[in-house]
Amino acid sequence: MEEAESYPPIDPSNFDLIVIGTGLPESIVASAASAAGKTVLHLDSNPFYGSHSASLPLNDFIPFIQSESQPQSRNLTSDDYVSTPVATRPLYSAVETNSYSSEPTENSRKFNLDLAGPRVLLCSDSMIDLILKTGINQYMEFKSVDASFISSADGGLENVPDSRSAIFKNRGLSLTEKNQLMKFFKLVQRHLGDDETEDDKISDQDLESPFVEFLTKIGLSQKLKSIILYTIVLADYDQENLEACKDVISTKSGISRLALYHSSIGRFPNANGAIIYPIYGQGELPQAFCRRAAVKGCIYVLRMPVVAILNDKDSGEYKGIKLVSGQELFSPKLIIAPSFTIPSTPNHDAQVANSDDVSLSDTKKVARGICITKHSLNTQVANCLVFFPPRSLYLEQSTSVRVLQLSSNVAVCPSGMFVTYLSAMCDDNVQGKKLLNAAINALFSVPISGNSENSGASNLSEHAEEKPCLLWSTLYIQELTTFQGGLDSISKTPMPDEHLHYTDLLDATEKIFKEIYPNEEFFPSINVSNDDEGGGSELDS
Amino acid sequence: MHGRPRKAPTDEEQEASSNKAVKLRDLQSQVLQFHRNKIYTKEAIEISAKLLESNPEHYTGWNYRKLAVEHLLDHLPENGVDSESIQSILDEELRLVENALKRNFKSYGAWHHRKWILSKGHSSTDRELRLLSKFQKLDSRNFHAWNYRRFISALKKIPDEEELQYTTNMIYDNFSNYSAWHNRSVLLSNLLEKGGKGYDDRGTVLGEEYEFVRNALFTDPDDQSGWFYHLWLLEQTLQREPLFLSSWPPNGSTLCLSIDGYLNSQQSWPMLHFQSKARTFPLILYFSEAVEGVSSSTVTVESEYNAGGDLIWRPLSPKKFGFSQAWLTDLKFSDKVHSLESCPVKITVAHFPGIISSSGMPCSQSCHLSFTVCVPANDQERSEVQTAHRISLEEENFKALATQSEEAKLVHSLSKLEIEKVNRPTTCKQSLETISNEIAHCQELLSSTDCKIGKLTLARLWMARNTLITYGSTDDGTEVHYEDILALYRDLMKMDPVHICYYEDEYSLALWKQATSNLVSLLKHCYQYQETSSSPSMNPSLCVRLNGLSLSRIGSMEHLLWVQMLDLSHNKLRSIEGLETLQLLSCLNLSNNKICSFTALEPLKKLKSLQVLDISNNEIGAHSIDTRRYLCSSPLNHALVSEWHFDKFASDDVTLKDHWDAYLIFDDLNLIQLEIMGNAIVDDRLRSFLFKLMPSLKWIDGESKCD
Amino acid sequence: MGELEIVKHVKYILTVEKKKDDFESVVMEHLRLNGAYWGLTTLDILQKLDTVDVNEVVSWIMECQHESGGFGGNIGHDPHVLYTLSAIQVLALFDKIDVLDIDKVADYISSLQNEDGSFSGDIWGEIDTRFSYIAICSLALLHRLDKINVEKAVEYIVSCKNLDGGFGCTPGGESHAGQIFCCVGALAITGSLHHIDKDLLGWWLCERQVKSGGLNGRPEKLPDVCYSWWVLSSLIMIDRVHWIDKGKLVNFILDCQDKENGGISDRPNDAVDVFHTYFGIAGLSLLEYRGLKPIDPAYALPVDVVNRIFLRK
Repeated sequence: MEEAESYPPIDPSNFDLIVIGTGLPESIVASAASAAGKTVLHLDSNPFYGSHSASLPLNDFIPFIQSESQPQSRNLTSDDYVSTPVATRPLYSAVETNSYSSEPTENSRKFNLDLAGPRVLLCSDSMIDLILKTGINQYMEFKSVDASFISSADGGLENVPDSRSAIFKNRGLSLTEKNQLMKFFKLVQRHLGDDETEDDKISDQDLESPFVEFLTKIGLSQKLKSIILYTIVLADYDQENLEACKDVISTKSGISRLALYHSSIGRFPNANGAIIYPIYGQGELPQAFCRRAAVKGCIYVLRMPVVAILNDKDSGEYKGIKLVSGQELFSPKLIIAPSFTIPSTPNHDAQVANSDDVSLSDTKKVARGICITKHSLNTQVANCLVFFPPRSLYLEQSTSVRVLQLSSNVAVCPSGMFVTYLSAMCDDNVQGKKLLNAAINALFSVPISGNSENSGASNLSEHAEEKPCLLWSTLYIQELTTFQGGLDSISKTPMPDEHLHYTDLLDATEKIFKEIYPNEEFFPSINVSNDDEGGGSELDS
Repeated sequence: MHGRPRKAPTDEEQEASSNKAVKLRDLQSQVLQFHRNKIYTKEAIEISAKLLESNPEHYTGWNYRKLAVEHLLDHLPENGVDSESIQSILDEELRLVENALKRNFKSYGAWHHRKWILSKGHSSTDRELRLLSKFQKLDSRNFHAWNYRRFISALKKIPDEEELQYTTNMIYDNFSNYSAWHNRSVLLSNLLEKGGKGYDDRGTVLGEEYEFVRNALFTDPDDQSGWFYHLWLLEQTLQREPLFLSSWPPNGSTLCLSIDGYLNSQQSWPMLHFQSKARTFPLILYFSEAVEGVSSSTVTVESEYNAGGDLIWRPLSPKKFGFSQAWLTDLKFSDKVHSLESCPVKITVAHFPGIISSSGMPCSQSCHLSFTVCVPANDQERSEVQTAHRISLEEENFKALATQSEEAKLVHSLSKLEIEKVNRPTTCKQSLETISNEIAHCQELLSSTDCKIGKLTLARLWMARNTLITYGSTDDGTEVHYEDILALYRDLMKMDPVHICYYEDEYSLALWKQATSNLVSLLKHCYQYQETSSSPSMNPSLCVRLNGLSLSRIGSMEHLLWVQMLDLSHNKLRSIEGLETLQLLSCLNLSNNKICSFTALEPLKKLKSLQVLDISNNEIGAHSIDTRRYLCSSPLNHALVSEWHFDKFASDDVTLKDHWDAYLIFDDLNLIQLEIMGNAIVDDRLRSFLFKLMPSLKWIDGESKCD
Repeated sequence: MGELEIVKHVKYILTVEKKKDDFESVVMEHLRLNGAYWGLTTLDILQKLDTVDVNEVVSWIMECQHESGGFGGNIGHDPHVLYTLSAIQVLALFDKIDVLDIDKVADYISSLQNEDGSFSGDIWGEIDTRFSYIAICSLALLHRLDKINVEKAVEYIVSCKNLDGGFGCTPGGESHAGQIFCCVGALAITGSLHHIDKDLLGWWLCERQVKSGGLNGRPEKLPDVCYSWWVLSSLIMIDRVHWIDKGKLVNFILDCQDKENGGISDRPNDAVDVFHTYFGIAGLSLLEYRGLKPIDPAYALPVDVVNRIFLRK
């Protein structure tokens, strides 16, 4: 009973849609549903917004991924319904944290660490379009990521020549390579240009062939190929080794990704590159959508765990949920965050079981890491991307490792410090750790682990002028669940994916919405007029 | 009205337009009225601001503002002559200019108004630079902004180094920004001139610039901006001092003068024969480029029989101006001399400094040349009568030279350059390295890209290399084959037909060099002229024939100064610039070319010994636009040397008014024979006009004066 | 493309001269004298000058003259060399220069020459090589070049020569086809073309021709009919006009005609105006387009007018 008092009762108790978890996909659906005039209840057991898309203070970060790693289950019965207790299943594993200095933990609150880092936005990608369309840019500010680098043969970092002027400035390319690369960019422009004649177009045959083969065919050097494939087209897997490669990029999609990248450059006057990052971290994004949902009447309750799903006694179909407070709430549709598992009920074991089987049987995993340093990877820039293409770290490296360094100018860390995110696709934890550690060793000087902070500090001063010295780091492996319809009335959102941008996650989210509301428009467009103007103003220069 | 789409305005638009028109007209008439009546009230001034914000081009409005400002400054309240009130007045102007520029930042009036305000010692460097970077971000090519930027950096003494860095940044943003490249070239020239720290070693600085621009050339070879900058760098590299190349009489030759008489055939080659009038003969100096300052104080002539006293040197350019590649003077022999065995003449060129190229480079080291003059004793008098003899340029009168013939030997001695290349400047070596390096890069680029300007640049580099080598010290390596250069130009003609005539001209220069710069090829063009019909007393003369080569242009004359008979027929010549140097020329065939006007013949006015001229079958009179109109001295360009008597000359015949240009050219000539048929302009009237104009003229198109 | 719509262009020019009530003409009011020059010269090239009332024009022009001797762009506007030249040129078209107090006008212009040889546009001291050309051209037409220091004037223009062979507004200013015309023209009129590197400048100018056949005014810019005049006349004065493709340029200009209502625009399918109509037709005249009077590249007046002035007396 006293427990019940600490939890406020929710009124009304009937909704068109109940959403559990405030991760980005859940928040977008909640926002889209309320925009479509549905009554929506949005719950989260955590005291903060964002679930798996959140940005957390340093000291809250580890406990979160750990807690998410332990299944926890309650049991409460219901009188009129079959109540199926909900549990969460571990989505993070092999969490491994090293602290070489107390400074980061002492400044815990000054950090906003992304759970799903590294992640950025391309100025022309669909997420930016949605942000502008929904007008939530009024809740957010962005800063541009000044530069991207690719690891060079000698282990150094070279600027990515991603534009005409970048090619001109680049010091890593030979003159002939500059000539070839610009020629290739022009070739793509001519191909996409509408007014051009047939002979300017790339043949359909080439379009279907693997991009890497096309690049080879037009005679680009090895270096240029990996620049295009892994830093601009952002391929995950080694494209050169077609049988091992899990996603071979066709020339067609390669070119459209290239086009997306190039159209991102200069879209907003005050973003100097193609890529931007939200101030205060990616966690701002789900919050912004939640705020918009709230404006449209969506009801929010945080710190409110859900303990059970209520099913009809006879039909067994979903009816509603039971809160930790004991209150029972009802809705025809339910959306749950990916971490939830619903143990089988007599009538529905089949569906539920295989619904979770699917997600478990999916072996794709992403290894993520966060490093905190006192020095930038490149003294010239504060925020930057770094790419380690396959085989650049060691021979068996089959996926590319992506790195995003952020500084205090995007308010994700105390000034004078830098937060660096790493990620790579992997089949298992061992492989994942190996990839990340290789990258970390290439980028940072790592104090002999187990060292106390002061020796770590001395260590730092020695290595300051060479590689930045690690103050704190954590590595973990994240499951990649894909969205399944599961039960007709219950949908589970996907985990943040392995990509650098949101494009795929957004597509999946829209699919969910379409599935529960086939007849509703996904965010009916309000006046989209001063699109770019708004876009320009959204960026703080 | 630039870049505005053409479409019939809708009624609404028309109405809106006329409404706006009414408002604007009202503003304009008000301001003009204030202006007329010198009304400078607050209201009036505000109205003028409205006007200029909506129509920044209204220059009278800006003038009114200036008067108003001066009025306000003069009538500040006695107590209120403090800097603030002045500030506020001027600030208001700056604000207005800024708004006007937002409306149209190509407005001359607005930009100048701002300069005018600043000249009153107002505004800060930062403020102006901020304004500039704002506008230059919006339009990085706006030349008003760039001009204003130069004005500010001069006014505020911003060091050139900083401005150079600014151009670097602009180029980093977009290397197609020709304006930035241009300003860079200006700033660098200043810095190199001053030679401050980091700019004392020209070679290194230019080297870095080559490297910088190379990135642009390779990244986007189709972009012109970088190439123009590259061409400028090239010119900087090739800047060198002028060289004395050749002379007439040639170094080491023996000149046989026949005073008042005829060359007699008994004289044996390889002596040069010259029919001297009035005991003088010409002395010609030829340089690697146009120079000035050739005079008796820079060139000394030692000859015991020279009766001329101080020699007068005249430039051999079609115009009267100081710079010329060839210089002429007359050596005179005293009347006492009737015969002399051998009289040595010694000449020192650039004995004293003072000979300077148009780019300001001095001819530093002096050159020596010497030749011998002799006058045959047995000089039988002859009567003048026999001159009456029409020359026929029929093909059968020309015979190729046998390689061992005396004439061949003569040509040999003539064409040899024996002016020793003592201590040639070392800058040559350095620039040769640079050129070779650029050639290598150019070839690398062309190996991957078929690029027009790249090809052209390579051709230019090759030509430059050859020049450096031929004019440089002997151990400089081998020349590029002219064939390769010609091939490049043939390519370009196919590749870029729009500019075909440009490539033809460049091609011609290369071809001309190939034909004249070495003996073997020159001999191929040397013929013996002797009329099959003519009397044995007529001795054969040597004719250089560069006919039928589709030359569109004439090149360097350094090896042809001796030529008396020249055949350039059946080419594509539009201009004959350069022929004025051939002072010995007496017979010239220009038939079947593309000469479009009499004015194009101006160089002939310098050829005092020219007697036979064939300009038949050209395009004189076939064009309504005369492209030589302003290159030729005439009343139109106030550059006429002699007085202009045409009017009274032609007054008797109205139609001759159209022949002012013929008058201009032929008035100075002493032709005996002229072939002019086959030109649109020719008619009997013109023929009779020419006969009247040139008393010496005996034949036009075969018809002699009398009939 | 196709033919030059002579009749329609004549009609167009006569109507613009008349209409004064739409926004554009009001905006242009202050330079009406330039407009008169553009329109009337075009008519003369089209051999239709007789369609205008000489006395009306002349008396209006004289109303634009000031005490100083200079002319304003319209009645009530301040004097400036820009409009003084137009006034002289229009009077020259009608062989009416003698209505002027020649020395008064000449004194106004020569009073604007500065120490360094440069010229100001008016009393407010804006300096630009455009004004050097205007002063020299005007004084030549008035046979009063002796009133200025020609040598210094030339010196100043030469000091504006750039490393690409072209010329700018002031020393160091970027080369621009319009500016080049002014400087080459001034040098031509003063017989000083030897100061120009004809091959260097000629190549820069002939590279102004772009794929479409049109000419731009600076590297990497769009083509524009007005450069048919600025670039062509400069190329002619230095005898390098054969370096461009005349046929393609003719077609480009014809493409810019408004075939319904007459007039020529900067680029195909843009709005027409007198300025571009003049430059288009003057350009065609320089290209020896049949049926047009030849125009003089330096004085920007029909050749017969220029010859009348200089080859007489």
